[in-house]
Amino acid sequence: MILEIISINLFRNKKRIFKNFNFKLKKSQIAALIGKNGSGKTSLLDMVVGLIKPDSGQIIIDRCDIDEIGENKKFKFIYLPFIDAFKENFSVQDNLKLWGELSSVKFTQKKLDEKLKFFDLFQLKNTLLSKLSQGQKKRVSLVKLLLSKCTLWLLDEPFNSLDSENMKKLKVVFLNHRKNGGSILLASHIDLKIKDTKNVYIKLEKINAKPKDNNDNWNSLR
Amino acid sequence: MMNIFFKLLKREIKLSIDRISIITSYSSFFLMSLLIFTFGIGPDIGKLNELYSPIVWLIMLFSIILISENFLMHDYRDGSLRELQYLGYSEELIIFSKAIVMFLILIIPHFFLIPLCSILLNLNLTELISLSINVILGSPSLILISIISNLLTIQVRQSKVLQFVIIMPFYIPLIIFTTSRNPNETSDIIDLNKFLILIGFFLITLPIVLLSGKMILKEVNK
Repeated sequence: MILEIISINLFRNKKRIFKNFNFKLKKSQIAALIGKNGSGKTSLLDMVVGLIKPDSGQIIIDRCDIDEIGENKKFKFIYLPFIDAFKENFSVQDNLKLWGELSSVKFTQKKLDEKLKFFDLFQLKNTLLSKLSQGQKKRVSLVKLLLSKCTLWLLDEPFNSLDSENMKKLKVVFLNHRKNGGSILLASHIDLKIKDTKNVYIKLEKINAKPKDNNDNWNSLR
Repeated sequence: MMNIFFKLLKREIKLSIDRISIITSYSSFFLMSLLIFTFGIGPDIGKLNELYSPIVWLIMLFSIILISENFLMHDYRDGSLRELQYLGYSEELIIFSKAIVMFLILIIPHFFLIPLCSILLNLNLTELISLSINVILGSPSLILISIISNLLTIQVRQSKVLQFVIIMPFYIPLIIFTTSRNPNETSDIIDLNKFLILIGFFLITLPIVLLSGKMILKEVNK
């Protein structure tokens, strides 16, 4: 099991977001957290990466408790949050190099160019981030996935701002990652219809998180 | 540990090179305020000589409060503060590296601003040396307090008013020790005791800021 969420309880602003939420992500599996805005998808991802501490429960990544991973987090997973941590006054490639240094992801200029070409960003590699559109910025963020060697990908609304052509490309990237033994947990407000993806529906109104099917791997409560 | 710290320091320096405008705005603010005081007090050399320390510290205090926002708030707004956290960098190291770079950035302009002060405020060599040491030893504590002030602003969702109300009292002891004048002191003797107090103040401020900063950064994501 690459990711295990055990009996998570979370309150935010006096509202219960999760009650005894359980979830397991296997190797070579894609899971999509689907729910309306404010239903708790981002909170769940933030808990998984250790940004938010649940009121009770445990999160285990690759057999290690998230609180004990510490500085090795960057080797265990890659997280692409909704707000990309990019510097607007840096160029596309400088931003990716800065991220690479912080994440201990080593890559050559040739490899970077190759990955930028995949998302049609090669011509923009020296352009400042502030000059790019939202869709282009999103694609720059997605290049990180191609450069990273982590097996667990945690993605918050990865398809936002993308056109249909790039959505197709990203789906191919996901399927390739799964084929190579990688796992993906992504949050989305719509059903993305990725082949063989387990959908986990999160609904704030009912104060619960319930899977669509009754598979034991998705045994959230209530 | 050191490797991680140097990575953070390298990142901060890289970002700061791009923030060269901070140095120019800091210097121009400092210079303009100094000129206002000098012209305001008039040609009375004795009065200027007596007031040089409070004048310089008052200007420094306000300029540091003004520019400290560039170091933390920007990182918070573009998500890079969160990025550092989920990549596994400890909050203490994040704050410490920011404080070091802030100190370096702010201390550079003083190499030409303080000699200029000595001309405008009619300081002799001993007073000039004393003021320089005073600034070098006092500004780290000032910077650390301003960092906490910014973190509190982030925590209380960017209310600038609270920043002043909560943090201003913490500046007062530092200002008292930096601007106070020993009645027995003559202009030819450097008061070492004052410097020792400033070093002591820094040694007290550093752990308090690192610990409280860590707690605030953990709370910010909730």
